[in-house]
Amino acid sequence: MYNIDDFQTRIAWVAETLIPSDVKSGMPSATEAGVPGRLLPRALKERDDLAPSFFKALLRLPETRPRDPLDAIRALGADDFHTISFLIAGAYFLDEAINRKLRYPGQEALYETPDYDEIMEAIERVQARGSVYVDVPEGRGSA
Amino acid sequence: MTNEDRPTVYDVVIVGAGPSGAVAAKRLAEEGMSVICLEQGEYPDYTKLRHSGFEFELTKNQYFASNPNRRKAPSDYPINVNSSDVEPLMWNGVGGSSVLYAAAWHRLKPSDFRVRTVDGIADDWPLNYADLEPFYTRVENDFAVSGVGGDPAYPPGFDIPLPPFPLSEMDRKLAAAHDRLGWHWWPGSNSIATVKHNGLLPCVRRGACTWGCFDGAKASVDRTHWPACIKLGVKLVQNARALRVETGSDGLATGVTYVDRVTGRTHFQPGRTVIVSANGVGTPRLLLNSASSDHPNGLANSSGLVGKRLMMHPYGTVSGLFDDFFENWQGPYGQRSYSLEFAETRKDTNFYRGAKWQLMGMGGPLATVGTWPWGGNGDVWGENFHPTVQKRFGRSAYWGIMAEDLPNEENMVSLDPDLTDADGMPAAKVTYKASQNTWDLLHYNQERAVESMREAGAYETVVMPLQRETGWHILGSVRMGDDPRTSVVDSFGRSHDVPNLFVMDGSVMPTSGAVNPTGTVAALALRNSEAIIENRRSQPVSNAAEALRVGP
Repeated sequence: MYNIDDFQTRIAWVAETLIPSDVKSGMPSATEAGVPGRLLPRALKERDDLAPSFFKALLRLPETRPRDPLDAIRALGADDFHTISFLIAGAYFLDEAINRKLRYPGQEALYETPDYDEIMEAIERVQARGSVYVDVPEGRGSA
Repeated sequence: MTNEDRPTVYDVVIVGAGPSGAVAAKRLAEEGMSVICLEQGEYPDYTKLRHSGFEFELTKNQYFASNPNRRKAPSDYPINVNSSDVEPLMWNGVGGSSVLYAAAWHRLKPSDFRVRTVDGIADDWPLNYADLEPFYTRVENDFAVSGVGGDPAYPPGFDIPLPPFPLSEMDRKLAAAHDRLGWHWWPGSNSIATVKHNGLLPCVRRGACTWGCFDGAKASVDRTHWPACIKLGVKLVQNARALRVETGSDGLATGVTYVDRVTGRTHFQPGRTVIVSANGVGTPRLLLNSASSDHPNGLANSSGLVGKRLMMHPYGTVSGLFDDFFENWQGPYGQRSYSLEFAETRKDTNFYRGAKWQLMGMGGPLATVGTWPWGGNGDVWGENFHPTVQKRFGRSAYWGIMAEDLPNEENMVSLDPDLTDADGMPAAKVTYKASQNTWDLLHYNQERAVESMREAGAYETVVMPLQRETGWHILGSVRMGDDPRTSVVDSFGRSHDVPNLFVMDGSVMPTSGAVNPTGTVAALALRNSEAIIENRRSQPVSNAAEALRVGP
């Protein structure tokens, strides 16, 4: 059983390395968004199946930020890199403010009805180009 | 043995509660036949899908992952894929893989039944489009197919029972591009209800189709067929893993031996007719594991073809990146639109047959830094993270390119000599290599799809060649045909060797076509069931099974 509090130093530099802030888009870094303290515990609760391998992988990283932090995370190998990056990014995108900035409302329930006039007009152009299949004699071949 | 100890002898024992098993169970029970179905899994627990919150993307692959080797649920069995270019995907439980299918719905084209005649390669089917058409029509109603009829990529008569989804901005972009290119496209046909129909609710387009539909709109047979089956008296035995189809001294099937995965106890379920509907991996696995002194190479395998000619519709993608922002994360997922412009053999190419293209949504922000449909994601981290998300989220679309797979006896399902499942049954081993024809076909279609995306306004395209974890369609491994020397079952799914043994699933398909096969698989199951009903008086039944009957 792992305690996330024991990993906060590692989580801080790993999260910041994977998701730094971006001035151009105005997006915050993982730590600014609250990944280490607020969002990652939620993500790990949702994906408790991945939590043990996440902490095991973190244990293979240095406690404090190395000189080439991204290379250090990549050096864990594809599986561990995937587990760490997936959970950090997954935690980041749990945040409502982040999603608002991206204009992502979540998977909404939509109740639109189709515009038949538009659809009919569109398919008539396709139908006007003629059939698009090979016509074959309907007799049975040798099977 | 007292009468109380004797198991009931059913008219029909079905292995597998997926689409084919459900279609057969329902139709046979409607005619008053007693039916029992042995299913190795349980009903899906849709409450395990976090469909509506921001947790959706993080959690969707936990319980409802499509790769059994990753999911490792108790009902799954291991599949050795070390020698395969493509990994088979499936759901082992009530509903079968319809629980996870995207629900893009198609018929085969007339030429798909006549590949030998038309192209001089592979094989013709022992039935044709006209033979199957009435059954397509019936299952399309049962499976709540929505879309627009009149597609010129099919002969007249492919009418869709339910109304379509609205066109999205993504559809409009690609439709306009194909109009300019003179290429076919059509609004997506999906077995997803757009209005209340057959126990399904109208789809609200959350896009969770391939991870279990929480909203109850997708036509998975746990919802469309099994409630009716249960009302008709079909007995559904969950957690029942079939180990062997047994035969008597008269060479006829007597029933199925299965293990109750909860108690660990082994049982024999007798039946007059046995139907195996366990998918293109599970069905040959069961038949091969049913070997006996009378059938040393596996049951129904005098042709030696059980397990061979495996086809899996190799799949690649072409994504387009656009400047403008548009909704690209909702459902159906499912197909928004499709193109069959390049689905059959052309004179100007160096390969046979073709591919279907399906226009797909992209998912939410987390998907923009994943591998699908982008290929690798090693370079999206650090300073590239935000530019990547900004570039892809709400500004991308992709064509899924589904290649027709040609049969090859080297591609096969066999029993693994070492690996077993939790109950000691040999695991399946899949040996599969994509052919040069497949690579050429994919390459050509991806080049055309790049043209399509560019014409639609994409400033950049990303081509992902054949992807490994895309074996949704597992076909051909128990081939049907007229000749017992070159096929396992006849045109009605009846074993040439064991006349009261039927196979009903995608494994019987002699060629794969280039489209999603559930419509064809379901239509075949219905056609075969009608044949069983029609021939029930003359159906040979094992004396051994009859001897177990209780009462008159």
